[in-house]
Amino acid sequence: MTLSDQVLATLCKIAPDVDPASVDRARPLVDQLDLDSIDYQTFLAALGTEHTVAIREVDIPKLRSIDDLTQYIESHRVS
Amino acid sequence: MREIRMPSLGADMDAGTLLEWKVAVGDKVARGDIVGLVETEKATMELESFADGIVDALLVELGAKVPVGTVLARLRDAGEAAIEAPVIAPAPPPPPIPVPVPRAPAPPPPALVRSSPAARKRARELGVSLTGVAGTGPHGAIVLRDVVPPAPRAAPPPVRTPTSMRQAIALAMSRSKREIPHFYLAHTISMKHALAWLTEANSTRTIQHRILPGALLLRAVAVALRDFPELNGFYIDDEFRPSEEVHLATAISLRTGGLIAPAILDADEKPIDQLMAELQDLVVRARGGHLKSSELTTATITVTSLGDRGCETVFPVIAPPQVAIVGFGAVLERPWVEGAAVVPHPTVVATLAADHRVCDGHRGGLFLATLDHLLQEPAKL
Repeated sequence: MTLSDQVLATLCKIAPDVDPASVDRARPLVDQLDLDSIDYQTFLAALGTEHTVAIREVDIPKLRSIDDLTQYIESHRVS
Repeated sequence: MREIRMPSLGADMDAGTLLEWKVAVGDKVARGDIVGLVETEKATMELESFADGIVDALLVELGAKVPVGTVLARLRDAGEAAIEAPVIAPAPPPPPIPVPVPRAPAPPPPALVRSSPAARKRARELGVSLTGVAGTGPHGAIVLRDVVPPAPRAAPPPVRTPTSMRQAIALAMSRSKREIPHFYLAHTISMKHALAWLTEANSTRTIQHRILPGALLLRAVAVALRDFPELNGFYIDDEFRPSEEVHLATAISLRTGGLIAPAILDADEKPIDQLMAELQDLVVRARGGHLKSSELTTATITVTSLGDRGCETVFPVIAPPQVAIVGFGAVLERPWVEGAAVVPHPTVVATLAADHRVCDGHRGGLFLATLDHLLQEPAKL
């Protein structure tokens, strides 16, 4: 399972009604999946916990797609 | 001897189907424990025990649809004697199957098929069974993508029937508009101080503990309600019954269609961090179909927030038998008069729809003004 797959799996955990096969990993998630701000906050918090990444408040507006998040985790995680 | 009954999810729910027992006869349960899973027209919910005790009898079989109020299970105290009682079976009962060969010793019980609410809904819509479907979700659960239509036959013309969720909303909202003389008030509130406080508070928090504006708005409503008991409670049998507790329902739009409004219980007693955590938990469980019966049956008032991507104002409809609903539009920058200057402020339009049988515009207006005052001093919330 690639990191990108793991990020997508986390999304499906907090939004079980989302079909992962339908997700375009390059496109902003909020636009394609009708996620609300609570969904997105829960998603980011879960990613932070699962990948030991401290996602900074100022970075949140830039983290919009599965690809954005995958890159961010790769470059920020404490390994 | 105490009883666990089929709860009512709303004024218009008359029956529910028992999907699963999570306890067996002889199990010890505590108040608040989840004892089963119930399916209604609007949602699947977890059935809670409202008392401590030992499961004395499970009176309804899996798959049985029974009216609201039907005793589903009985609890006894330790030391109390058990009672024999008939069990309600699902209708129609399965016909007996003649067994021509010598019976195998104790066939294994059918494996529990784990499936998502969306998958079950789709299966019902398609008229297909989930038995034998290979699940590709977590722990082999059957998810939406696993449910495929049966092989096409002589192509019947497509018929769009409203889903049961839509029917449940239609019933409740029609009754609301028929019976409740609504009045509506709107008030634009500057969110400059509230958002500045949130930014400051979040700057020192980890991603797991961020607070969103929606939680602050819920907190402000819960606190404001302390001074406006006439907005918090139920209108039943031609009279208003105010509630001591504030069980604040929050409307959650479901991507699978429709909406559901589970409550945060005793919201006025919970600090902002706890409200935020419970709101997140509620949204995840609403999407996964794991709401508890108490969360779906006890709301004393509702809040509907359109969120970032919504429009500026919502004129909500009261969920009977409640007597009020508070709405928030999207937080938008608007020109704001500050002293002698006009400056941009983030603002939100707060609306109140209330029952004129219970209160008047004057008190409703004071409620929105109180909400405004509270949001100007967010640190005190």
